[in-house]
Amino acid sequence: MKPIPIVIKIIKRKMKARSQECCCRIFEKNAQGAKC
Amino acid sequence: MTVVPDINELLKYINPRVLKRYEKDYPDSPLKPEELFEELLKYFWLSHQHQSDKADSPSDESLHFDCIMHAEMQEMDNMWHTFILFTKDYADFCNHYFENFIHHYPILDGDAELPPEEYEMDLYRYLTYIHNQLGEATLRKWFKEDK
Repeated sequence: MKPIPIVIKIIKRKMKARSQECCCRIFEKNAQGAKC
Repeated sequence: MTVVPDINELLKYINPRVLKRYEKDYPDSPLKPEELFEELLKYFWLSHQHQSDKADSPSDESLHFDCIMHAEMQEMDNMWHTFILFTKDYADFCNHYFENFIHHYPILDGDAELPPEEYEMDLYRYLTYIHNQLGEATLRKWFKEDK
């Protein structure tokens, strides 16, 4: 699949910042979706 | 079972009291409360759609990421906090649209840290998913890429 320019741009900016700062998550880490 | 509501139905939900309270608590917020609330609803929808997709296709590696609220999404997180203050409205909303309570897990310093390569891959998958599900405008808004 062809990379999406805006996706690449955001990744470059965030990787350059070397910060993984985050606020919160909606599901617990590694939560698996339950099959319907 | 992950319930994923119709996004157009979900986006019809409004709660003037939440918006008013947000305006009072965050008078300097750069985005209008109505706009932020809509972005929060889209985040709820996306996260549940992602859970459902993962359940349907557990071996699909493009779905191997967490729908985390990144630092750029701080205002959306603040709106979420405001919504949660109205406990009954929030619980009723969750039950009506998602048939489940939507929890909020704060991330403490470092507990979501990944090795750089893993972080980059996770981010690539997450951003691509947002783009494909909700479009470029939403992705730009969430990650503050206005230009």
